[in-house]
Amino acid sequence: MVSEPSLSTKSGAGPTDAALVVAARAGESWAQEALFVRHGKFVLGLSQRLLVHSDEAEDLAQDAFVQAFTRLGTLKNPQAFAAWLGSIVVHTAHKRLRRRKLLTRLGMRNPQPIDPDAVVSPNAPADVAADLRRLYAVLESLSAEERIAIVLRRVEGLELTEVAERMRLSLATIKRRLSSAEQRLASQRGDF
Amino acid sequence: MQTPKSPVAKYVQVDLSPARLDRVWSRVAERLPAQPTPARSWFARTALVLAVAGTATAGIVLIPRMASSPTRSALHGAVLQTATDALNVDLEDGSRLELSANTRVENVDAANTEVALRLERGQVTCDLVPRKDRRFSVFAAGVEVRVTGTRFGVTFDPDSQRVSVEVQRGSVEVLAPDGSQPKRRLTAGERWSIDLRTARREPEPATEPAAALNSAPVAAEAPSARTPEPRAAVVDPAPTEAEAPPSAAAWLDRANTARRAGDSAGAARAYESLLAKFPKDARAGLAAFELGRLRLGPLSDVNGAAQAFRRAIALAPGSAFRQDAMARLVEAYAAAGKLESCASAKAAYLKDYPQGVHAAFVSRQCGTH
Repeated sequence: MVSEPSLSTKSGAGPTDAALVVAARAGESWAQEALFVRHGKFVLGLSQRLLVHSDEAEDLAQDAFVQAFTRLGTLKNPQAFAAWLGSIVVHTAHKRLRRRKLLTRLGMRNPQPIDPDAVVSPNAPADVAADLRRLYAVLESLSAEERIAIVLRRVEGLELTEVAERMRLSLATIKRRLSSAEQRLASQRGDF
Repeated sequence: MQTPKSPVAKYVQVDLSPARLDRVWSRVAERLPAQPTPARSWFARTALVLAVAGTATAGIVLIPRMASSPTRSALHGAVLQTATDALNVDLEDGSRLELSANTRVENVDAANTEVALRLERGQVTCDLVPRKDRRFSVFAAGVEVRVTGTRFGVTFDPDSQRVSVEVQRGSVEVLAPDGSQPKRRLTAGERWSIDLRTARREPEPATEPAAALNSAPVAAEAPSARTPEPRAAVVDPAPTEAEAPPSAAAWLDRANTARRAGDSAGAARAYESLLAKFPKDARAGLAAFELGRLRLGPLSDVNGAAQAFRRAIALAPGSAFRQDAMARLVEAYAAAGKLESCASAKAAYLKDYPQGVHAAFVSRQCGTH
């Protein structure tokens, strides 16, 4: 999840996100679809990297878009749609992960282990593949906040301040969550 | 489009196929509340769309003014523009503008009785509900395509200076760039194109309708003792057999390429060809399904869509897309107002997929719940 402006804005081609947001707010369903076409891959990609399991990722992507379109009126800066949408994905993922852990703890949901080999692309360089496998091997054992923070930082490549902003947490809290996650990762070093 | 900052993200395997994204969008669309449709005229709605797209970079929002009192000055110069994605604009009277990728259309004139678009590059397909009181024109490098109600596409490639017009339904009039030559009428299935560079260099005698189109704008040289060159403007009824791909896989590839490029009509023709030439091929069911989606969506042919979905279901009973095809068949029947067929298709879907991903959507169709 990044705050990079839309392609159309950078190239000067196509309606800007702001224009599409304005049109969508005015009741133009084509504008909603245009926003989905523009940001669907980003949202689905981020959802999958956070939740891993395909079905859950699709559900998260749907939820994020539905929330975004039904709450467009609260978006103060329409041109910031992408960053706002990313924040919704993160926030919704957090709620899902917490609910998932609770259900698992109550015995109402079977744990679904992650197969790191299925997550990592066969085209990944060896060192990147090893890092990713290690990361995804411990992901299920992390708390929801640790999990999201480490994925945003290590996989999405966000700055610490950006991670804090997306997760709506303080920088200090983010540092603690990352430190905890990194310790868990370090304990796995050498296993892959 | 967004891309992660870190190169690491791209090494996490994520299925971002069009089919998956389409599935997600379908579910999102199903969950969204119906958009309120403001009571505006066709013109006002067209004006709204163009104005929003054209002025957003300047931070100006014209919606309130447009909705209440559209004026020519407010609209003049407004544009619709696409980058890598196609964009469909549905209009209130049922008309539709389809912009392919890398297309720029400028609204050069707009009034209640006259709408003019200038195609600066790319392709725009106009599916217009007939209105005798409105003159609708698309200009491309001086070529004017004038219509009152039909479905046609105009393509302009600034690099090759070629303008093409293809009529899928109804008829259009094509006027030479300088407007002084006899107009040419094209009917459904006809395709016309002009190479403006050749036309400008080598004007044809104005004795034949097609030649008249070529004599347009600037006669740089005197048409004296020169060897006649091929006409710049030609009318093609359809792709030649020599161009046809030899296999179902090649037809499918051609169709998918056209679809990704936003050429819905071209994609549909390729799917139809696959179905006609290779009806027993394993890809026929998928081709019928994709054809149905195109007809239900950008081509706005709901009856044709229903026919295609029926065929998809019959050709590929065990396919991964069967559930989607059955749901879309319900949608097509509902859109066509065929309530009995709709109810039957709805019952069939709910019987086979009572907990299906489209169950909620299907349950709301056909006018009953």
